[in-house]
Amino acid sequence: MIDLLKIIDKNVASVFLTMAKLVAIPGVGDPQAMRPSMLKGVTGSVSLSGAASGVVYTGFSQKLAEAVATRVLGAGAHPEEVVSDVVGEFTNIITGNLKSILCDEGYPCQLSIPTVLRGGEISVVSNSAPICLRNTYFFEEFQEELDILVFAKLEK
Amino acid sequence: MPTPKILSVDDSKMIQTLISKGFASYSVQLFFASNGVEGLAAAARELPDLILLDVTMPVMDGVECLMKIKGDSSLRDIPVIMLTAEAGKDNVLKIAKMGVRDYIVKPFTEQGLIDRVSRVVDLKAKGVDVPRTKSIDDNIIVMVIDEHQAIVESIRAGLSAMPWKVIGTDECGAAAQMMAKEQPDVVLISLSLPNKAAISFYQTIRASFRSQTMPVLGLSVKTATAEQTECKNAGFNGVITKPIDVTDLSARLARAMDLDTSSRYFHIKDSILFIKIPNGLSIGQAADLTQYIEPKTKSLVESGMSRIVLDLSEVDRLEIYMIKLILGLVATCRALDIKCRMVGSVEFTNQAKAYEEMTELQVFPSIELAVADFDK
Repeated sequence: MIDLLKIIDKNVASVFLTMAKLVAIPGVGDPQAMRPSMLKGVTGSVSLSGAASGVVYTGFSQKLAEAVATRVLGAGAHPEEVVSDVVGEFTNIITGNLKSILCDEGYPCQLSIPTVLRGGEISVVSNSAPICLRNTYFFEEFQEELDILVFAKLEK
Repeated sequence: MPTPKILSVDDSKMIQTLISKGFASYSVQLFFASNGVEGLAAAARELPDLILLDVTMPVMDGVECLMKIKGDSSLRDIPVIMLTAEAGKDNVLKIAKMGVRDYIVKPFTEQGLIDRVSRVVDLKAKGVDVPRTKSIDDNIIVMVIDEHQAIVESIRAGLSAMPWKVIGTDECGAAAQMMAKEQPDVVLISLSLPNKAAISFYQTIRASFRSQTMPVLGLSVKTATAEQTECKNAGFNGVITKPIDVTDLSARLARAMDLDTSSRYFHIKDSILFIKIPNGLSIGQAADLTQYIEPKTKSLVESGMSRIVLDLSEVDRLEIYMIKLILGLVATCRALDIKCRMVGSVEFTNQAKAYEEMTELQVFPSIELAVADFDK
């Protein structure tokens, strides 16, 4: 059985280290997260369709999203749409790397364009996805956390 | 050579910014498009030397865009590098079959991007045409990789008079990490490291665009001729034999790095150009100094000055190549109507008398007397 949580942990660590030189410390992870799940702040999402279907959500706090944008793009005030773009691209890369592994494991699938939502409380749910996992990643440098939530259905 | 044009087709402003940052120090023209349709239009308009193409984009994705590029006779020869987070085997095979030159997997580093792009287009760092951007007075970083700490220490001691920093390690893995943090100006590596590590490390250095012109010198005992031949064949910039002659080391490294060494010999005071010849000037140093004479004297005349003092007061042994240097300078001064006075010790003056070509030249025993003679 493919360990999605482990793959996501590895992807998140790699993406943040390579693009932002940030160490993302994973939490223990919850392979059976609550439904619906709540996210807040700046939330990116990318959908998968095909033999692997579902959605990957990334929940950045406003402070973390701005800090990551600054780290990647350089110092200065970055407008909201630029910060959203960074969140969208990080979500796209994390999900794209997940897609690569899923395809190699026999679950060919396609990705959607990333979308970014902002809000105090965003409730997400997918009743058709048997897999619902969640993990939190701590960024010591900013004392902030990133939430990753994955709804997935794998069908060979 | 015209400045290469690179077109990035990516819907992410973040990626476009990273590309701009990555190429900021290179002479390239960058163009951006945020989807396949805009990308095709920009490609037809600019006919770039390279297209960096994202896969997942709105309006028209990268795969469709690539198909249209390859189907257009005016665009199909433009090399395309796919920039994608999707590096699954099937995806890579599908892209490869469509005739892309390469693909870069996200996440990527700026350096990784530059390295890949430099394999396709001839990248030139901005200002690379300006010769000798560094001088011996700059904070040069010398990296030494040798299994014997004593070698590192002897090089450090030998270069202690220079404002240079010597960083050392005994193995290539640590050296690579050090290079990632701090790019050295020159690398000295022991050729006797196990498993021919010096050759492998040299190839790694040359494979990276950032360090492909960095001088790399081998360190080897004099009798180990086989490893020296191997390193020269691999393309090393030279070999320094052990035990290391530290007296000539800075000059040797300066030549390897093509540093501007003129400050070692030339300075201007009171509208007079002083040329100082150190004692024990080697043939290499004489050649180094000779190449500065013409531009320095021309520059002197252009700035309205016309007096030179050639200071040989420290020289106690006159070599043939020094005589050539002196006579060359005298001839240049005559051609440019520059007044030249020579200062030398008693030993130097006596030795100079033995050479017929030197007998006509007056040697002053001190700088003060030589300078005073200008006003006579």
